[in-house]
Amino acid sequence: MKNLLLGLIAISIISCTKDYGKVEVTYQEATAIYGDIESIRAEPLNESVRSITNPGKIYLGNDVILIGEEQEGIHVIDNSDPLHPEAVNFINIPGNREFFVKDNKIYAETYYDVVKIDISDIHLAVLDSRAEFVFQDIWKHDGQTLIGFSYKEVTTELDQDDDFYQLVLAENEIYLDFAKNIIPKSALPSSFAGSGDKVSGTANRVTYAKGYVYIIGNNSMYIVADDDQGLTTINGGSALSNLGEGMETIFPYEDNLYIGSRSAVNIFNISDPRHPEEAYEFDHASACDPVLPSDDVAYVTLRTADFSSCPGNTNSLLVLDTRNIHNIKQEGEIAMSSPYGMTIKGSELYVGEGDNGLKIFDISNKYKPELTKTISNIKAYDVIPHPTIANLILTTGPEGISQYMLNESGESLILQSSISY
Amino acid sequence: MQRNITLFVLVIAFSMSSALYAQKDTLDNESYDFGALGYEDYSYHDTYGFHYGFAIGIGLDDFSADTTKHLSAAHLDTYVGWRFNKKFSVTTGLGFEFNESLVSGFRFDTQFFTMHVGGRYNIFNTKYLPYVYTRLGYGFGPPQEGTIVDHDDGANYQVGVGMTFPSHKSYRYFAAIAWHQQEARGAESFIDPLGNEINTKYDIVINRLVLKLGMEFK
Repeated sequence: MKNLLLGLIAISIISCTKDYGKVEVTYQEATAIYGDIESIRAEPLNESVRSITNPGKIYLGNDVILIGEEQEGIHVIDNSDPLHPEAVNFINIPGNREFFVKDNKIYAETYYDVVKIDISDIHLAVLDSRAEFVFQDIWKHDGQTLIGFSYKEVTTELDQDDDFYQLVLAENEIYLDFAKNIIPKSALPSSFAGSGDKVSGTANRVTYAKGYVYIIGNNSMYIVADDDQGLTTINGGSALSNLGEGMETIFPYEDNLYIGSRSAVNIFNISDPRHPEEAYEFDHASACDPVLPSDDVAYVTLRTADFSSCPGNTNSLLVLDTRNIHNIKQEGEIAMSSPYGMTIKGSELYVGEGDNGLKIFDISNKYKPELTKTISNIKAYDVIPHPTIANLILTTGPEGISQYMLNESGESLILQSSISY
Repeated sequence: MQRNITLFVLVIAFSMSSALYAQKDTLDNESYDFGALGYEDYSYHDTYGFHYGFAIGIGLDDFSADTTKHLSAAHLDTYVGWRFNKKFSVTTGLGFEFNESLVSGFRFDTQFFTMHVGGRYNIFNTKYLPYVYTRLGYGFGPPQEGTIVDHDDGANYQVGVGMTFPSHKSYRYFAAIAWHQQEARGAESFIDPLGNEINTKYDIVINRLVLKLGMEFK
């Protein structure tokens, strides 16, 4: 009798260990969009000026501001007079999210391609070169090519026994639009990833160094040569793959590429620019982390204020000693509120704190930044210095971009102009 | 819920039948005036008065052969109690429980600071003392909203079987297997492989088997 009871209890307990209940889920339902890639390539490059509705990357040049319009192209703003910036052109680059500017040339991704566009005349952009199918594994359906997804927010209650989400997460090579379509992750260009994260600024997935364009996306890095022949895909488009999840920013400095991911800073040596070799990996707390390398030092901001897309519990500015890139040392960590982008102007480090304003550090001793000013009456997600006008900076915020002049005492910012969106 | 009621009835039935069985047991111990059962090797079981103790617990699901079904659980339990006799005692205490839950394919992390009351019944009066216990509590969720773990408070319930090992006069060890049930209502966000945010709201009941090891002091 006793053994029977014990057995019954054991069976009952084991059968009662499953969790149950209701789960209501709200997500972005993605629907694949297909199009004729050749028709898209043939679209006119210059279009009439239009309003900014979904801003992306921002570039501040001598006389021009470029503002990316997510998935569509780039707004060209004449900024020869910073008090009166004026929109003068819209460069049509379908599917574009990332671009980099060097010497009046824009390097931009467009669906499966990378294009080089000459903007010597800001009123009339000219296509210089195109590398086709840099991003491999083209997805087709009925003769048309996958060119993106449309998103719709859906709220539904799931069956408690449905473990579809866990199944997909467990299969690393599966890339899904959550609700409907399952697509191999490696098949998609980086520009397709995500419908959110509309962080405007300089943090970039595209960069240029030593005559090569480097593009990070998903967990891979793609390389395109830029020479007299135009743009040429290296190694037939095969990327450096499996570099780690969550790569967010790439920044060249001397012979190295600094790649910031959500849990590490990876440094690749490009002495041979066609064959980057990983030199070092510096692991840090999980967070969103723009990296700004400078002379034997690198500044990294870790942000988790928006924890949904930047998991973790850290908000800080890290100071890394990079004199020996094979043995990077953390020299300091400064508590921040919600750090986003940053820039160096002379002996000062500007760090955008999002809704919490702007912090300016004295980096005369580059390994020991000292906070000198906190300007809290502005919103600064990213900070971009003007390349030639001293004390002129551009900040990005959720409502638009603003240009400020730092007054002579350095104590306050004087608004010059704003561009709303 | 029906399964839970079945389990509860079975545990009670088992306790009562065991108690009857124990009445016929030949005790190899000797009662002492200070409220204890002593044995030839000078080990003891207290039978009366104040006591306190603690236990740590880990979820048995973590040892499942199917690693995709692993669900972590870590419990810390402290309590004070009163023994009425060699059979019955009551306790009250504070605990901390972390439970990972899996419902609808989503894994939710929950943590609760629990206040609880309970009772223990020693089944046999043997040197190695088997017992059953039950515990009712209320778990308080994390103090800060917007953290990784974000959920409301909720009631919890625990029932288990264990064994108290005779030891030194003032302390002894015990081990138990407990079934822990916890209400949990909250929200959690996930990022899908496309980089899109998925927001969930959940209203669930966590069921967890926990192995507990502890020490009890006179």
